[in-house]
Amino acid sequence: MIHEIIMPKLGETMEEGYINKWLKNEGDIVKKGEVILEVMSDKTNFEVESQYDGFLRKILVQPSDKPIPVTTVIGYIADSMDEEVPIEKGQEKAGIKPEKEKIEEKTTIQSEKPHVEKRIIASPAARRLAQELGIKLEEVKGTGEGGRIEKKDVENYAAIQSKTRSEFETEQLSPVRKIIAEKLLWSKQNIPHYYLSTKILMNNIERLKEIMKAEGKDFTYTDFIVFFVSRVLKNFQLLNSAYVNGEVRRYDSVDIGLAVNTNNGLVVPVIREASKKNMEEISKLRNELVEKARSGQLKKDDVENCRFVITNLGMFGVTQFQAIINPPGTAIMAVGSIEKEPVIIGENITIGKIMWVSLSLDHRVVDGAYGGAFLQRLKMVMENPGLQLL
Amino acid sequence: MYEPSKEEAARLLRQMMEIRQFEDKIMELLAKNIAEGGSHLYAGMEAVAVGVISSLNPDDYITSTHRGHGHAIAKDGDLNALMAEILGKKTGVCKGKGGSLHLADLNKGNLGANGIVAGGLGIATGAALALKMSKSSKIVVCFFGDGALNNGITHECMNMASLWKLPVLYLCENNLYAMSVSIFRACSVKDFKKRAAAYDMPAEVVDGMDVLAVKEAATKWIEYVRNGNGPCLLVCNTYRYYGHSRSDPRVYRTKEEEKFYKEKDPIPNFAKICIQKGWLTEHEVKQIEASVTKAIEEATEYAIKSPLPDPEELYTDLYV
Amino acid sequence: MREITYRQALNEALDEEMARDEKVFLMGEDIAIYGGAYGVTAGLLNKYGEDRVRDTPISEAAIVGTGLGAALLGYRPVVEIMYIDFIGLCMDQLNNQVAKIRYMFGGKCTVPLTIRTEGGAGRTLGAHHSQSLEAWLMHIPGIKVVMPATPVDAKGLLKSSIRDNNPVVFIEHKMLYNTKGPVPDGEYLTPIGKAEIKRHGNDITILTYSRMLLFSLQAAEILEKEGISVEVVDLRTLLPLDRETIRKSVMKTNRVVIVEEDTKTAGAGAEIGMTVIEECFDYLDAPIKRIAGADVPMPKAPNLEKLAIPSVESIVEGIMEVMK
Repeated sequence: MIHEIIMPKLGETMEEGYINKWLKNEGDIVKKGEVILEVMSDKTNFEVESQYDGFLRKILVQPSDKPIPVTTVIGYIADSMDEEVPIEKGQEKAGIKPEKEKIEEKTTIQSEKPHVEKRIIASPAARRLAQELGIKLEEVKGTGEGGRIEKKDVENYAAIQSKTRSEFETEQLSPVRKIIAEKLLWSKQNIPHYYLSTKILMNNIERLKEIMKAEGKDFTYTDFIVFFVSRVLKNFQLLNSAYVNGEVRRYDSVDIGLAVNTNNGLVVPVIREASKKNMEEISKLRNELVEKARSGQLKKDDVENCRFVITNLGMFGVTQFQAIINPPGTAIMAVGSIEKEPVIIGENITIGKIMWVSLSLDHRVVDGAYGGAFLQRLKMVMENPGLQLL
Repeated sequence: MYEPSKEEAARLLRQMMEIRQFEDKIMELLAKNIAEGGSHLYAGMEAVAVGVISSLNPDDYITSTHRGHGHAIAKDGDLNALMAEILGKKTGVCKGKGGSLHLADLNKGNLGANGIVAGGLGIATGAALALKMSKSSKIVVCFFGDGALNNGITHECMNMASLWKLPVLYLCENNLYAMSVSIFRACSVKDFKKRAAAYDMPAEVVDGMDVLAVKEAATKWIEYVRNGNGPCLLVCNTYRYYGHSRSDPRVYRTKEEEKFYKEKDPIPNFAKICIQKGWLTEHEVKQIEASVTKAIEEATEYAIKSPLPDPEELYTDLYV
Repeated sequence: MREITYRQALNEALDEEMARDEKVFLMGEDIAIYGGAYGVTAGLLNKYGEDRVRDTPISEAAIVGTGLGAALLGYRPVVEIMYIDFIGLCMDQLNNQVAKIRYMFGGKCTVPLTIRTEGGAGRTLGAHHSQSLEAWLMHIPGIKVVMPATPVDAKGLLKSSIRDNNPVVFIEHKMLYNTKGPVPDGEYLTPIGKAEIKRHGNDITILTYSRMLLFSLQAAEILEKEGISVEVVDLRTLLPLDRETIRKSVMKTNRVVIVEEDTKTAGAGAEIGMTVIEECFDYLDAPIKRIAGADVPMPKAPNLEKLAIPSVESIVEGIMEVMK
């Protein structure tokens, strides 16, 4: 029989020991319980006793300053000196259990804390709820201590949000829209509107339009309307006046506003001195202004200070409508589409091209008869454009 | 002198050998790092546990100490389950949750080893109170060391037990050292019999290295306690061969002293007496020793091969 | 329903359990002839005799230790430690033996032991007779810690403690013995480990126990008039805590104040507060506040003693702060 002598583990904390000296030499007889060597643990010196009777067959590790891990085989005791020392096993660990693996110390490099963004102060309950509802805490106003956002703040916010979402989408009015809104609200609330309508037979203008087109001058109906309105207005100065702070301002210059629909809303560029402009000039200026309006390039001068406005929804098939006066002006004329209607001319029924116009007037400035007279004259000159030659 | 029967002599020898070899094996396992943790070995003191416990009825109770392997084996402990417990295995007597310091087997009347010096005094005295209240004829033997004599609860319990005449035998294993401090440096009263006088209970000091002397005294005092006379103190002077624990270099005691007590080794001395008295033959002694070696090897193998407790066991057995 | 005192309720619990189970016996200092320092065991000696109502020497370690020994052999001892201030004298028995023995022995024994004690300030008894040491005990796995506040709970919980097969430390309060409350006739048990909502509310939860429940209920009454709806949870058992009831209440109110009489640092409230954090952090709207005892030994002077523990006023104030 051959027995291992191992570096004994002599305490919980002992991982290694040092051999101070062997008290027996190879070949010496040893008895069980007899001290055979001295080792030093992390705590103190120990005498190691033999666990067996026999001969100290082999000393594998000599005394030195070198630490020997516990359970390392440091020698052999055998029943006789003839027994073979297991060479291949020499210095291997004894025992069944492998030595515990050393846990490598992980060196965690403390990364520098990145720049801390301004933290939103919100309670855990508020954070949880906001996350559940997909609400951004940035948008919620906190009412808790020091402005802390609390659960009820998120709940309130969510309640408002859900109401808004279920019925309509909220959109802030654009600056243009805001001005339109305020101006029209003021107008409708403060100007005593009344409305006069008439229908104008456009057959002659239509024919004239075609002839001019054939001559290479492609005018729109609006050009014709502007032309005739500007001519008639010269004799109806009250419809070309402004009502400001209880005073009526009369103007010589006939400046006609044209309501133009753009992506940013309604704008009213002005054709200055329309009554002094021929068809070509009117048409050219109108084209320029509409172009400017649609590309958002109208200047302050292009839109300010007009008394009479023409608005036309004929292109949408609207036959007749009433418009709101554009203050400080006193009149706006709404123009509908041109529709075919049977009309009696003399004793014959013929196809008439009818255009409804509706005049909205400020009763503070203009009475019905005055407005009626204007419409009557306009109807007359538009149905009989030749009169303009006079 | 106590005269055992042939069978009894064999049993006493066998138990003492079991304890000795069990402890030597644990020392070996510790050195090889197969056993982890600490262990307080009983080698040298076998005559006390075996002498006392062999004098009890099987259904009597004991409380044990931090140096409790000997008591557990003597109280009919299962070597396999005890060895497995010391290795913290699922098959251990406490399912691997107690370990060397907490060997217990309530079914066999072992109310447990204890990691706290004097930790068993309260339990033993309370168990004795329960026995008295239920008018049982069972008794409790409370093992403790010389160190526990200086602990407060020892005083409290001895006073209480004597006051109420409880059936408890206080068994002081005086091995001269409380860890490293000798009784001469720790106890104002060196003659421990005098301690008992403070509680008006009888006491006797015996040679704890002599199993027959222990057995004779134990038998007498067990009967005294069983007869309802109240507690008593039996001091067994003994010696532990290993250090307090394995990391103890034993610098506080001399080689001469260790040699003196090695010569009083209870096992070979008792074996010699058995042969001299004709209770056992030399051959029988050898047979017993070989059979114990086999049993210890088997227990060791059983323990090593046993699985560790399941992870789920962490939270079981805390509350009912 | 009849109204009896906390003391009578406890006495009835002991009486009923002793009558029901002969394995139940009482042991402690001055509990037999004297009837207990606060009179809880009065009359029981005459009814059950010296064997079952046992005066002990002043030996706290041995009282608990022998209680354990008797419990291991099948008895159901109810031992009394006169003041919780004396618990240090038996802490080894309680912590190392009573609490651990079942686990250490692999579940092969049970410890049906009840340790009755009482604590708290209010009688100007100074530093050695006024402490609230429940936090020490909450740190010991293996025992249960029960602290009833009302007579009905005192009786029901003491009966449950005696019948429990685990060791229970049952902590009474010296200022509650004379308080009266409705207690039903006849047999009932109150479960250990179950808190009770003693007042329902929506705005804030008070987690409290023992005498501080009474203060908390008064504070809640005052706050109701201020428009603050306070829910008052009486924990009743500190180990194990009723996490479920705590969670439900906090999820409703989103605010928590803990009212505890023990000293604040590492006190019971620290554990209760962390339980709230663990269970329902995401339901909190404000930091948890502790209204607790001052971190000082209990002073004798009556004015200082009052200052050293929470008051109705300090609870009201504390809640106003959390409601800001």
